[in-house]
Amino acid sequence: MAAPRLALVGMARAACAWVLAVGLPATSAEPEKLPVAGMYEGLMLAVAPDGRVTGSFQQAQGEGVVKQCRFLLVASSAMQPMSVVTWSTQAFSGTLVAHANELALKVSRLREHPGCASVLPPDEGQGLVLDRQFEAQWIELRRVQAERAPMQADVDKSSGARGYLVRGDIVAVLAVRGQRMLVDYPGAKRTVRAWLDASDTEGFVPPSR
Amino acid sequence: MAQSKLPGPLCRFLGALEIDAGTLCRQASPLPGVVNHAHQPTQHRRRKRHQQAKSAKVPARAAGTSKTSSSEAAAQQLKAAKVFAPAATSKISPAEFEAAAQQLGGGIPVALLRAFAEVESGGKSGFGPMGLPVIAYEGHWFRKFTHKVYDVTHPFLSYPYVKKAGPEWVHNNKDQVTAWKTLEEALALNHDAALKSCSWGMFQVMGFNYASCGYKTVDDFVAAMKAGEAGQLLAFVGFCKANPACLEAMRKKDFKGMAIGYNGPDYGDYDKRIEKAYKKYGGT
Repeated sequence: MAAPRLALVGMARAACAWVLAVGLPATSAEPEKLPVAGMYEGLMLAVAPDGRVTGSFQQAQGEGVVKQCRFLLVASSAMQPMSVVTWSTQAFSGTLVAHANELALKVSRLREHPGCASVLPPDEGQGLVLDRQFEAQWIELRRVQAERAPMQADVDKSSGARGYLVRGDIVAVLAVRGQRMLVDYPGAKRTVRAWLDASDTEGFVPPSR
Repeated sequence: MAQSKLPGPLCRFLGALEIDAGTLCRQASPLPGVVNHAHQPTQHRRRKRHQQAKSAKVPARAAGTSKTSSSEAAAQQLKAAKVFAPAATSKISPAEFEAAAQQLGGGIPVALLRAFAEVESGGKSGFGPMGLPVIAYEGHWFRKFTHKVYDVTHPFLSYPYVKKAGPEWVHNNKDQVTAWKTLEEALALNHDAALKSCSWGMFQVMGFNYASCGYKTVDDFVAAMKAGEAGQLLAFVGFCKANPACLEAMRKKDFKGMAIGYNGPDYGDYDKRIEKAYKKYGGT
């Protein structure tokens, strides 16, 4: 029985060598370098060409008195796993890991964001794992800072306003042309795509802790 | 012995009572009319369950059935039976409000707890028309707790979060009878995950917060939810004690802070409603 056993050991060694040489095939559990922009179960995520990630999370629960968990995030891909800062009234840091179709947001104090203890379960070690519902070409999320930010159908302002956004609305930027931005605004019923003045919006900057 | 039944009452909640179960459960009287007519719904349910069982292609290990011994199965049945057993639906007495305020500590007045109870419940009872706690089933959490294994076989019990009160949520929580029926179906798949995926009682505390509320198991939490509105109040007190920001706001009588801490940034006029109710109950 010694010869077959040796042969088996040899085969196993060869398999190990092959794995070391070519690497393991990608699986859904294997982290990717950069997350994919899109919507992840209440998390709107944008990824810039330079790897900067911006996100806006919102989930709610309850009837009558609604409990809502809402925060913004920025992440940098300079290190793996990506370091992330989430904030609402306070800022908390953690990591963001991207898999094939999901994200794992690991922030130990995530439930300390207002309302989040009612809406999100305690972390059981995996972090907050969110599935991607759809991909998008969003490169940055920005917040409307003007009282009223008119939206146009064309990059040229002369095309006339087709509605407006108000201070605090979050938009996802698809393209930039000079001082104009093509944005998606996901409303309650449908997503509106329009051009905005960049100066009517502001980028995400976490508060200093 | 593997097929033997437990002695004593083994009530299940909706439509699961079999004539040979040997229980002491109360059963509705047969409808008047032809004798056989009353049996038809039961046969129909049996057929439906059989079809569901045939169509459900859940991996046996995921469903927790393949290696479950008969004693474990019996224990699971008993745990499930407890969930559906009648609850004490009593209102909170003044003494119970006092005791809860003492448990919360920090000099938080009774009037504030009474205000929270009133505003959170919208003036309604913490118990539904069936005498069981008011619940709402949140299938996106069941999906997480069961690692998506029921997505295909039970798409109305296990689905991703798209928005608050999406179509599955509305289907599952149309009314309290439907919500409890949904819970029963989820319980049969995964007991703990099902209980953790519901909000419970007049304060709508999620089952997954059982430990934050001070309970060792989610079944202990559910038992508290069924121990009258006072039980629900004590769970809420436990939850507040684990939420320092909310507790501090309560101590300072900072109504906005309470609203943000408990309900999040979009609290609407919650702070004003709490303040108004607080004053109504004699708060200063």
